[in-house]
Amino acid sequence: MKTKSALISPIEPDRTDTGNTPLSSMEAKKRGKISHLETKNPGILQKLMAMGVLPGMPVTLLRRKPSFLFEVDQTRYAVDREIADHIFVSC
Amino acid sequence: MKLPYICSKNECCCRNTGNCPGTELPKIVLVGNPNVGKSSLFNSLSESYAVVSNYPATSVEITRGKGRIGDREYEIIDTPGMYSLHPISEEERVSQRMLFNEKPFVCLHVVDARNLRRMLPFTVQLLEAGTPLILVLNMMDEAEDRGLEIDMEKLSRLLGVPVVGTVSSEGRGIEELKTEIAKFSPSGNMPEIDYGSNIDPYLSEIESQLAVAKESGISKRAFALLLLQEDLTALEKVSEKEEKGGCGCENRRSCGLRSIAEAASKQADSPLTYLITLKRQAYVNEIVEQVMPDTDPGDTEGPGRRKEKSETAARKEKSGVKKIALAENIDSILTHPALGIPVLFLILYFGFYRFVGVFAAGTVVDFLENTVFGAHINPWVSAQFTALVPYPLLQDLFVGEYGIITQAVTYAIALILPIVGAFFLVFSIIEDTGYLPRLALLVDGMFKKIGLSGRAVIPMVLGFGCSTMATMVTRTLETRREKLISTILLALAIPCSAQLGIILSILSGNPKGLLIWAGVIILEFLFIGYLAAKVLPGENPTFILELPPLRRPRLSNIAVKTYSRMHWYFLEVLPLFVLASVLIWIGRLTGLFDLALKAMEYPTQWIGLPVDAATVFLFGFFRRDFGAVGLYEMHDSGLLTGVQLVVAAVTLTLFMPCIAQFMMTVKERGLKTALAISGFIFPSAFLVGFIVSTLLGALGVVL
Repeated sequence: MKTKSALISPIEPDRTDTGNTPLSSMEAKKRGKISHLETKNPGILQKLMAMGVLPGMPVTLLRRKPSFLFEVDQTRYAVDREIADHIFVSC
Repeated sequence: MKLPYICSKNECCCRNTGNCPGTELPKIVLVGNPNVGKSSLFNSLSESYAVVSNYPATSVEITRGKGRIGDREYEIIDTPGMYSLHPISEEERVSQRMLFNEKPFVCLHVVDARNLRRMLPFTVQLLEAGTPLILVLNMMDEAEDRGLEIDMEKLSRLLGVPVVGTVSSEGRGIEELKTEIAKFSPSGNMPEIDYGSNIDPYLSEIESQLAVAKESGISKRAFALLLLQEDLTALEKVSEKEEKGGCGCENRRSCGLRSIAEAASKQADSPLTYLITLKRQAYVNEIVEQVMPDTDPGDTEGPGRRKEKSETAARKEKSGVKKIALAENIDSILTHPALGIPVLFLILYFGFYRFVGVFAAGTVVDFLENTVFGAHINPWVSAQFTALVPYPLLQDLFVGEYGIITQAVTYAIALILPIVGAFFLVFSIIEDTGYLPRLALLVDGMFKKIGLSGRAVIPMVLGFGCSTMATMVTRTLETRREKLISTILLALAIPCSAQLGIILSILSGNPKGLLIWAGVIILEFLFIGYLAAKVLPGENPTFILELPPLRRPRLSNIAVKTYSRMHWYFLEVLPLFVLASVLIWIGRLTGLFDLALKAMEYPTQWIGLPVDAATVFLFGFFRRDFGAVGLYEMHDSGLLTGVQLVVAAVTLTLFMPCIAQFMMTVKERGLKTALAISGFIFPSAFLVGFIVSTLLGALGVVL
């Protein structure tokens, strides 16, 4: 779990610099476009790419609870917070 | 004959080798993402049957069958779903290897027509690999419902392969597909993708070094791409060669290959897989824009998006919109953090408790066992048999207390079959709606606490049907740790359908007892899961799952699936029950039965049960459902008090897995793990039984 301060510090500058925010801190029912994927964890990266979650794709976050539920193109995905942290969205 | 079922022919259904097609037939291999309808298509093309459901990774093994198309016979091969040629999970690698090693006559790449953009990169990969290909756009109806129009002719021209649109569940487009297969000849067309300066030079270098030998079964370019992405199978192939050449450094070719790949990944700022995937996606996007000109990826729902649309498409879209809106509404309830749980309990209550427990295991079983078999068939058979065969010894074997007909056949047909049938029916409906992935989403948070991801809920739920098949499904989980934990929980705390049905029925007149039983089992499940997650090394799994749309189950699919599973279960259970009768008969002749019974009496009495209950556990060693049947008999004769019934039900639920499940555990996790799990379960079942019995006794509970 992220604490509140952790949520503000590493992500906030990112948001102001590039207009990017991780899917995990997006509000429900918001739409955006995937800008990039966090590439440090090869396992998660490969899974996301294989399943078609790729930069340039439009994304809609449908739910934050009980898990993150989002739609890319015509497909819905359920992911946990850790995976949602790896997807960056520009609004 | 449509034969069962999830397990592939060579695993457990192929005792009749006549069903395993020869190797000389031309092969048609079905590949594609999970849950796009490969098995459904397999069923339309071949004479065999593969189980079809609405959740990803229903098929966990390769299924083979024969089929006649035109005037030729083909071997048709259904593979577990895979997302790309560069696999992540073990079962994807199975499909990958089979593509590499078996030379298919044609490969049918089955895709979900709604998601071309997401699916075509795999098509492109297959083409790069030089696979002879037909592209099958399945679920065309759902694409139409969403107002998507695809110019298939153009797509076929751009890719250089035949493209066929189908709705496999309705049989639409199957004839066109068969025509295409009959006249198929490989085009040899290969897409030329520019992978950019980070990749291309290295790619051609590897390719030029590979020029000498072509042992990979795929094109050099595809092999080189896999190598750059550090694909395990490709690396294995390289290592194989290294081993053949003695020391790794002696063989300059393979060492060279690896060092090129390493150099390539060092100079790039992002992982090569990432770069390669993005380039390939860009290539696909261009194609998609040409064949679906009115879809703008940046705005899927905006007004004025689809400028020109044919009238039929517009009409279909209109009726589709209604369908989708309804599914949407139901979906938002099922996945709702607060509403989802009561819905789950409603499904459990009506689907399982009322229908399976009370109706099937109560009313139907009662009628079959007591009226049909008890009052009519068995007395008649006994009388006939006794008159015909005057030897008491043989009479005992066939129509005695534990006789083949009076016990084995009666149990199998009157007790097990209706319960299992009802279970499989409810399951089939649940599976086909697409509810299971929603359930996974709902429980992910809780499952994380016991070291599992939400995805593990699928094998767990399937375990209520048959833990043996569920143990096989644990294969679809990602980490070894997760597979192990779920295997333990399946062996320990998940009762199988027959067992559960009987217990529900026995306790149905005793709601408090039922609650205590359920509470103890759930607590044990969570406690052991929690302990396992604490003890076993490794990280918690991550959760990512594709949610297929909710669908209305099709009656024909449910009927065929339920039938094939019952058929399989019955064939599996009947010989074992007969064997049990024979063993008991021998045991009673030699006195071993009484000896074993005596031994079981101690733990039985220890947990506060009458001596007679020892038979139940002795049976339980053989099969859990067999033990449950024994319990049912005792309950029927009114030998147990309410508390004793609950204690017996708890102990039996937590009791040893059946032989089939044990064998499957050996196969999936190894003998040592399987023995360790069983060694733990036997004492722990009695320990929990003892605790429950002592607690209920101390609290003076009367049930």
